[in-house]
Amino acid sequence: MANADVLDILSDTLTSGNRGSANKDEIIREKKKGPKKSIRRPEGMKREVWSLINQDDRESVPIVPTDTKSGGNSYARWIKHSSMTVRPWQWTPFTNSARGPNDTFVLYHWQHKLDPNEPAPEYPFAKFNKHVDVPTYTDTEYEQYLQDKDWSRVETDALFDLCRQFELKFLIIHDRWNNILYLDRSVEDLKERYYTICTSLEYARTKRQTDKYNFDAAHERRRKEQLNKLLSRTKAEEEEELYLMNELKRIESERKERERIISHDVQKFVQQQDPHVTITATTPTQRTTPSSSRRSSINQEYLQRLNNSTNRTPTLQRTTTFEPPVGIKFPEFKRPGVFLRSQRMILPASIPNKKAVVIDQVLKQCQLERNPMACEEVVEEFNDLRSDIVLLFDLKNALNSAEYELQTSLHRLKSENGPLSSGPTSAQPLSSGSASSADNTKTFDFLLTQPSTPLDSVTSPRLSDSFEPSNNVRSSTSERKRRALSSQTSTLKKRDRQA
Amino acid sequence: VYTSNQYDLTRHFQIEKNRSFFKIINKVSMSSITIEPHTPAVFVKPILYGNTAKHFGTKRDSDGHTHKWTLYVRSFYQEDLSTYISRVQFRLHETYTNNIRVVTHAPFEIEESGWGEFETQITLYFVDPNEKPVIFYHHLKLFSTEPDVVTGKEALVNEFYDELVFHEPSEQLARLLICSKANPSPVDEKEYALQKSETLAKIKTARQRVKNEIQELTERLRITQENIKRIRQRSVDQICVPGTFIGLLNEAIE
Repeated sequence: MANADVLDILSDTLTSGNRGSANKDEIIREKKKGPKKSIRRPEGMKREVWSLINQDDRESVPIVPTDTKSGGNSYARWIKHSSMTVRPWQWTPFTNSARGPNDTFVLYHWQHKLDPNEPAPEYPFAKFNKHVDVPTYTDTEYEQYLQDKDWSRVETDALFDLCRQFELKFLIIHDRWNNILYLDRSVEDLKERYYTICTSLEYARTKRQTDKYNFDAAHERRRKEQLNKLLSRTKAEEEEELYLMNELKRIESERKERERIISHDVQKFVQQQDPHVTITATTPTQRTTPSSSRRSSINQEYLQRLNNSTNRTPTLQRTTTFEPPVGIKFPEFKRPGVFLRSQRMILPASIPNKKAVVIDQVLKQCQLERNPMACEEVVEEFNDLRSDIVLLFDLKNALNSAEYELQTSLHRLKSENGPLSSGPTSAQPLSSGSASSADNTKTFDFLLTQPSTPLDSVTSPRLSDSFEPSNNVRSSTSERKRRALSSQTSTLKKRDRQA
Repeated sequence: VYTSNQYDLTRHFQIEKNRSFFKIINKVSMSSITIEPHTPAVFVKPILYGNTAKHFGTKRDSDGHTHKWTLYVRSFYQEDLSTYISRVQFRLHETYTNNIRVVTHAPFEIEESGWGEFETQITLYFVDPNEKPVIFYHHLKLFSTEPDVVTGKEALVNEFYDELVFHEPSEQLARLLICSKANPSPVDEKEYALQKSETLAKIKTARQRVKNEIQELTERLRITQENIKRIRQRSVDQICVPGTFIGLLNEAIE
């Protein structure tokens, strides 16, 4: 591993003469052929391992300089000639004081030879023999403070004996608990009894509340039950849970996406049209108004309306910055030079293909060609028309998202209504019918109804209806669902009107 | 308020012609004036460009050509374009010899024969060398479904109206722009005026339709959003059981 690095460093000083083989033929051959290609270290293998295995023809240069003065095993000789001697060891018997004072068990081990004067050292591991202090209570104390309806005196005494014996290892205590003689107790029961006794005793003896023995038996029981349930989940259940989590994540992200689309498009126009409308969705951060020099004469009226709206409505959730209200920004010619009028009508490349297709669709419906004759008025009006078309398209998308959102919210509300209302109404089965139905219809009263579309046969096929509902948020399967849902809205509204 | 002698001349110039064009010029000047402090000079020169094509009647054996066509650029008012256009470069299909043809005098047109349609590029170079040339494209149309054209009696005309807008030209160019004579041919003028009014009317009605729909949709959107908000409010009020998954979910949403 270091050989390559060291070789690199030494490569200036190392000439071919310093290298291992000074064979003339080999050197010549090397010069002719050039250095042999080195095999690459296989991936995954550590550098050090590879350097051990690798047979490169270049001489390995070690880092540690070897002492070549004295040939042979110099370290062993050095040790031999040094004046250090080994301390003597002795095979001594010992006892473990932790085993108790009456213990006579004798074991042997190697120890450094000691001076016979000094006393034998204590067995070093005896100090680890710690014991737990289990409190003891007198009869009077028991009668005064520690009485419990579930626990008899005998049981309590047995419990404390076990605690002392097994050093408060409750799992063992529970296992040793004699459930033939006494009642069947769970680990939590035993713990609970022990800790309550400890706290009562502590309080009785010191008259001070202490938090030393806080034990929440109910919580512990619940926790263990939950863990047990978790452990005993079947494979199918586990998969189902994962699936539900993923579904939830997806739904949430879709919803956020929809909200973004809605608020984004709505701000474009609703603010401008009606400055007194409060924006219900959360307003995202908005871009600054482009300076007036960028606006052409055509957009002046929009800008004026914007300015008016800002003056009229100082509060509301809006900040002082707006998004550009117009859909498309067409190429502008303010610089001196010659231009062709039709150049102003070119659709900028920033318009996505989908929108361009939509524009063509609408133009065809209105019996307009894609590039009409280019005089001033026509160009102006045409550009405005196309901007409006794009705006319409965005609005349609936003409306679709919003309607879908409405449907899901309604469904959620209904499902929440269902389980909630079933509780109180189950007690009164007779009146449940009327109550639940009233409740259901009542829920939709607070909703606004859509304005009924006037039957105008002149413009009966709506331009916006021809738009492909294109929302990249949803897949095709959910689109079908959405269409099914949206068809339900009309039936729902009818029911409301009838109710 | 605009004060420019040159400008007055142009206006006067146009008044003799179609009144609508006068309005156009006026509008341009008005709009540009409200934005910028000084009065920019803007000259508008409407042009017509396109091609005519006539079928031979037979297919010529030597090279398979079937149509004789003329690609041209001319002024709407039958002006002499060469007063302000120095040359016009027509770029034809590669299979033509010398496919880049330059015409340096009026009439700015190319007469050729061929058998297929292709896109041509037309570049106008101006007398003022400082002005950048104007490039645009025209699809050479040969084939038509009209019976007269198919038989070869009538020629096919594929013409487009466009306007050259000169923003703040140099003095010299401006003078040249004013001085060129203009006699509009009555046929052209009538036809294009009609086309213009038709187009404008159609666009206006389309705009009205779109505007109405926009209004409608915004209203619906507003209501839908309001409903969503109300439903959310209602569901939050109803969920008062803490610890349930749905309740937590709703809280998370809020």
